[in-house]
Amino acid sequence: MIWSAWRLNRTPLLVSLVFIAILIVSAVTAGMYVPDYPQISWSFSRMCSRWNDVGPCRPETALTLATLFALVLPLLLGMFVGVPTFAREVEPRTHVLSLTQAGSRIQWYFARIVVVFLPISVAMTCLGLVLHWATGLSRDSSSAEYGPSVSFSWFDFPHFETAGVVLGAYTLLMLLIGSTLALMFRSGVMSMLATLVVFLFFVPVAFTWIAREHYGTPIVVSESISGLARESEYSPNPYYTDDGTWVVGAGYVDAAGDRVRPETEGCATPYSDDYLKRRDGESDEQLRVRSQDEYRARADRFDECLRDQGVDRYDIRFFSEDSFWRFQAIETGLMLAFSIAVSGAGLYRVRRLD
Amino acid sequence: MIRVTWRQFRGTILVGVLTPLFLAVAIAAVTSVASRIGSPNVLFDCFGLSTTTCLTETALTLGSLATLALPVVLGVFVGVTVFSRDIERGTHVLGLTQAVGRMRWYWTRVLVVFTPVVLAMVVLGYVVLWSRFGSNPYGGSLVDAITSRLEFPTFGTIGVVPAGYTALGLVIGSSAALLLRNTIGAMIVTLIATVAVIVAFPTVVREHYATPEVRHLTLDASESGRSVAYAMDPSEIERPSWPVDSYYANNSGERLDLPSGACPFDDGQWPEPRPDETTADFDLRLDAFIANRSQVRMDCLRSLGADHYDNHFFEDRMLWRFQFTEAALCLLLAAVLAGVSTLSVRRLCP
Repeated sequence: MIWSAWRLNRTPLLVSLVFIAILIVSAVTAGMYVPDYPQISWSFSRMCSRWNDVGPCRPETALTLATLFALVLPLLLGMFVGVPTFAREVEPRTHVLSLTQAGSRIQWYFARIVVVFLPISVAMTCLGLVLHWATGLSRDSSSAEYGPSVSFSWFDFPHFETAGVVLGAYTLLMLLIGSTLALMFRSGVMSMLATLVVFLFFVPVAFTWIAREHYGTPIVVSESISGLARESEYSPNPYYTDDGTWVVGAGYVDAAGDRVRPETEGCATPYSDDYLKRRDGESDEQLRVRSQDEYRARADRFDECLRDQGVDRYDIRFFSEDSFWRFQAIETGLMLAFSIAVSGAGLYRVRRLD
Repeated sequence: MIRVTWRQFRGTILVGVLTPLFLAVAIAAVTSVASRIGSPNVLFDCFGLSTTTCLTETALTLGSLATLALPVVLGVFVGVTVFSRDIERGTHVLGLTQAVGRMRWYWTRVLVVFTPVVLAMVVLGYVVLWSRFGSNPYGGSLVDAITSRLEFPTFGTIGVVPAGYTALGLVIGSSAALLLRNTIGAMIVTLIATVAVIVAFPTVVREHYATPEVRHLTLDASESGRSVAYAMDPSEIERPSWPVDSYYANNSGERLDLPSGACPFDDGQWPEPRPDETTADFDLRLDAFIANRSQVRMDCLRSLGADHYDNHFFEDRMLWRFQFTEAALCLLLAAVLAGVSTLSVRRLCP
């Protein structure tokens, strides 16, 4: 049974493994060159171009392309390996030949999973770990002025999906989804289209957008209201960090910690006519003190206006990078649980094949 | 023949036409709902920020990305299946053994199935163009406000070019299906080839549609360290140009390949204000320092043979010329490919 599964699927299996091996080798090579360029500060999508053609752009290109391919490979493998593994036999109905032999249907199903899907998923897990190592080397930068900083967080899209163990579980899930859809629809093209739709829902929407921030309880840091500064034209973006933390929520809250959305439009009072303008006989120092006092008074009135609407403080909820591997483990577990469910559905279809 | 083809492929045609049209309606709805469009937010920059601007911008960015990806998806799922479905089941024999000639069988399918899909993509391209650049004087390029509309990826999502890419993707798909006679293989080939086309046009081909304009900067201007003053009247701001090349040139205008790091600016002793110095004195000293620093660099560049600095670029007014050139190129390539693949139609058994 194992032998026939291998004979039927060796070409797609070997092509996939070779392609993944090429990505692993290029990521390892890039990672080995990164220490040669201490000024490197790679982030996804940096690559060689007409305007960026100096030494470090080559490892940057390798990392960007490896990450990009790692992101779409679960989809491509699901569509072009997961679906055909079963569609190849079910569509022309040659599975009848296999199913009427001595081996059981369960063996027929699991032989394909063990021979084709598991090696690919293991290879993708290796790719994820290699990307974690190589991109981790290249994201640190440090300047005398601002101190150490990182160019992206491990929680950022697409790094969480590609740099870690979750990549292998994603691949296994997409392979199984493709195969189960092939068993359900018995039409290769329909199952591929359905795999595409499922992938687009799962990766960017269901997990990245909705589920991931609920894996743990975020750390909460409370700040003063400081409404005037926050509502100014070029206010600092609380979601932008350079220490790798992942901010999942930032906003005004009431005393109980519930989010409040106050009307801020009417809270700003107009400047006095001589704000920052010298009065007769005023020295530099007096002007500065007067302007500061006026700004402080305006800020106080702004905060008072917000307090009247129930605002108590400004809360920032975030996860630090210490919880990265816990999040990876939770998401991998979820993927594997989904995989078992999907493969159960596939098995149910196999038993009902005529 | 047309009716038979329509009967056989009405599901495919409907999906292929309704997908771009649905996307166009969604983009139009989001654009008209948006309180403000065209803010320079990149994809995923806005995730988690639930302001209206962010949600609409993220939705529009996803819409543009979908527009860019549709030629590939349609090529893989419509272009390939138009022939592979029959060939894989062997049912093409039924069509080929009727009174109709093979060429008519082939061209009827190509025209009846592909034309409505391509026309739907024209609608989508114009809706994206209106959504991104219609009402906003600054325009909302997919990438940022200083990237030209002539560049990847914005150019491939607006106007007639998405339709051109789609025509090419569909024909690549059908040719691959006829050549390989294997659905999966044809899909993979179509995926790779269509992505290669969408990447190759902006990176390799597009800059050769016309001779770029050259902005000639004397070394005085290019090395002075003075920043250029920009007009701030919104009606006078032009859409960004697409720079394609820039280099130091010698007297006769030939390109000089200066080694990297030749003639570095010496910023070692950047002046700091002294405690006993007035602001006016410090400004004078700073100006003298900058002028001297530029002079040193200019002398060094001249000693290496540089005479001036050339910028090559295309202005935004080239948009429609480039759009129609690229769409025509795609259609031409598609026609040639469709013509060549008639050879594989002849080879089909029986």
